[in-house]
Amino acid sequence: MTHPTHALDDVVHQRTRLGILAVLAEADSVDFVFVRDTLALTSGNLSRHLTVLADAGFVDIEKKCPDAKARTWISVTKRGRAAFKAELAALQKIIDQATGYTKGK
Amino acid sequence: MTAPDNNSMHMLEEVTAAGRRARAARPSKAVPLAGLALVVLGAMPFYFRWPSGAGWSNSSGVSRLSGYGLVEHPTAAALYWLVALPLAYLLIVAYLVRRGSTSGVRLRARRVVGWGLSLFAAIVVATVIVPQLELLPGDVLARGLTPLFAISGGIMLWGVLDRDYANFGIGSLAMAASAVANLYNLENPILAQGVGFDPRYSLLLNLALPGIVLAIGAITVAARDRTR
Repeated sequence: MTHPTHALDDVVHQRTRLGILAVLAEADSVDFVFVRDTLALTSGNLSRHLTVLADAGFVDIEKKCPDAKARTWISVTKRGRAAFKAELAALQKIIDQATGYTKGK
Repeated sequence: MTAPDNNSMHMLEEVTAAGRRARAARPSKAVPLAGLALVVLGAMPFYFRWPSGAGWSNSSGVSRLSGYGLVEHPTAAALYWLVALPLAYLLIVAYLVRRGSTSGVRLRARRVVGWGLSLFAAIVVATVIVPQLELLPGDVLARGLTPLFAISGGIMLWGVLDRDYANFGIGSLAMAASAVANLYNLENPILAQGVGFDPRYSLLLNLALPGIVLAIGAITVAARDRTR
């Protein structure tokens, strides 16, 4: 019998990256600055985590320059959305199992 | 609770909070829904029926879009849809793009606009350009309210593509109301009660039904967004 923790994805199961995917899952694309400010990160920290997610194929990053002001838009891919959903399901399973153990005592 | 369980709970709480902040910042779908409700209700002045005893005009050309000559000004009614609906979609695009750019959280505008305009174009082709092919049944075309199908169908598809069950539900209700509006005289239940009703205004009731559904849908979505 496997424990629900085995279902956790190491790329997604990291506090900051999970938060990034949580923000991206609610929109078609989100501005880099919005993600940074919402998760209270530094730009460098966010960039590092986005690189990990992009390398895993979970996010797309697009740089646009409207009116000479560069903006970076991030969107979650289908694969990323599926990985995020799977991660949430695994986390919920862990909690449900723990709650079940607690109630059984 | 053990350490992994505690961590899991905290992570889920943080995920929920982050998602909530993103949802609060994205453009509200209530505005496009309200805009489309206004387009439907705005058609009312063009849908007064011929007075009793008056002759019907023949439907030809673009006026076929407004039915089989039931309305007093079929060409004006048809032109209303041909101008108002694309204009409404243009304004919806402008709103979604502008709001998304300002807040930093974007919804893709082409989903609602692309599908809505495509469905409307299909109806125009079937009704005006190749009516001889009889792609739509006459019962559906008679009252000249087929653009309502394009509006509600576009909202339904938007809900499916965005995984937004509320939007899909509102679109579905609007589609049902559009079917009733196109196939049934809504003054019949009133007349059945023995209440006098001027038949000149019968099509206004048919327009009011989907218009009110969309307006209530817009209010519902706005209320939902405020509580998020």
